[in-house]
Amino acid sequence: MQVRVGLNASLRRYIPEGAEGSPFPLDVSAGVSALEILALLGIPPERAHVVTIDGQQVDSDTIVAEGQEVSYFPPLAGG
Amino acid sequence: MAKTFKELMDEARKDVPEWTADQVEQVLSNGGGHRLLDVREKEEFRDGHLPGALSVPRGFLDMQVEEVVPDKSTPLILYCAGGTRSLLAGRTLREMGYSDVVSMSGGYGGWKGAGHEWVQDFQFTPEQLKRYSRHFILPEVGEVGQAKLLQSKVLLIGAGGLGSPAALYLAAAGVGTMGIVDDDVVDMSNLQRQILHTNDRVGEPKVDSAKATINGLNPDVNVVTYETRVSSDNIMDIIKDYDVVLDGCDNFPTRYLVNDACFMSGIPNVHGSIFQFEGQASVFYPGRGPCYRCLFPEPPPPGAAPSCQEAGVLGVLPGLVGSVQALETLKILLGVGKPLIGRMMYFDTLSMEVRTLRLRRDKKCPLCGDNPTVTQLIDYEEFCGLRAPAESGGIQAHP
Ligand SMILES: [Zn+2]
Repeated sequence: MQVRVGLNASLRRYIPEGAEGSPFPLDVSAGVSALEILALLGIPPERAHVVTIDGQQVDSDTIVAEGQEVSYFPPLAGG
Repeated sequence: MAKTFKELMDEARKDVPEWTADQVEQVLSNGGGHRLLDVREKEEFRDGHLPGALSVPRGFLDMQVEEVVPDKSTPLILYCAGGTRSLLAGRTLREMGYSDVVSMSGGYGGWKGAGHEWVQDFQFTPEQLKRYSRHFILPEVGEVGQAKLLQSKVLLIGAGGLGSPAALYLAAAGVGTMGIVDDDVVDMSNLQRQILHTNDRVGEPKVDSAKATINGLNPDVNVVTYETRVSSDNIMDIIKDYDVVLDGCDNFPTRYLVNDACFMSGIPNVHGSIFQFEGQASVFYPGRGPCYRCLFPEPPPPGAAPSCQEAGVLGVLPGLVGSVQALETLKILLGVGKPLIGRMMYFDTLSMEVRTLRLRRDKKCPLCGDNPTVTQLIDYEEFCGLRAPAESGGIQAHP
């Protein structure tokens, strides 16, 4: 199934080659969690921080359904 | 046939009963549900009026009264300075269908003369009446709201990228007291985005530069400068007198410190942070929504979230985010609208996508959760992995 993945700020460098920016489509197997999607992209789990599904903050072990957009927001340092 | 003034007054008296100041006082203190309308000019109202009175000058009465009192069966008591204008105004209201209209004989003069209670609203100077005239027109602000702003105190953590636009807009809007904490001096590399500062102030303390700019814009603002870094030792004392804290700092230890101190002091923390082309803003309001730790229970590993100095930042971006912070601050001070509590505005300026994420309070939050473990300020440098934990007293580490 396909989901959309949003990688923001310092996580952008993990956007797969060929993807046109963020959010990008990603093929995953059904029943996969937000945290597992992070692992698929080679991102350490401690960098999950704020995870949203379709704009709503969720726990990182929440299962992502087909067509949903899962996004990851790291804290930003600058001011 | 044309009517004389006396005839007009006599006719008005038939429709509009007159009560003395004592009668009015008695009815009001019995809480009879009467609305009190002051039909004098705004300037007269500003000098003093009956407690709870609404100002609707007679010249605007027919146009404004239906907005102020939509229900025409509401019992109304009108007064002016001496009792003449209110009687004639009462007649107008009767013609408009208001069924229960009384005029106070002797007016405000009689009321004061009888020794009854009166109040005086915030006294604006003629310059302030001009300066804030666009605020006065907004019913959500008005003179009452502007007086609130002028009596409000906002503390800015940082006079940098975010603090600059926030300070300028809050000063322009007439926030009466602005505290600014920053221990830095103006550097040439700041001027690309930190619009509080100027070329000729490179090398000066940022707080002094900020104060000069703010007072150049609006001399009403009392700027309190703190040329220091907030720390666990001084923050509780610094923030305690402020209504809102605006976090525009540039490092994680300070963000956690400000979050914890605001939560412990019950002060709303208007958060903003930026990275390259992206920014976020939210309001952490103790008891009303999540805090910074609900979002980010653990700081990022050192180096994982680079600063503006390390990663760069687009010049205009802090203007966007800092302005949102200023706007949220005004909303909180005025008590209008829906602040960004439990929501985070996220700006991606390259795609120009602006999203509002819905956040949740974390029941397991170490600070505001159900079983908090952070109950006093800690060592934030250590917490963020920027300093090795201090050795516990007396126990030697293994060689
Ligand atoms: Zn919390």
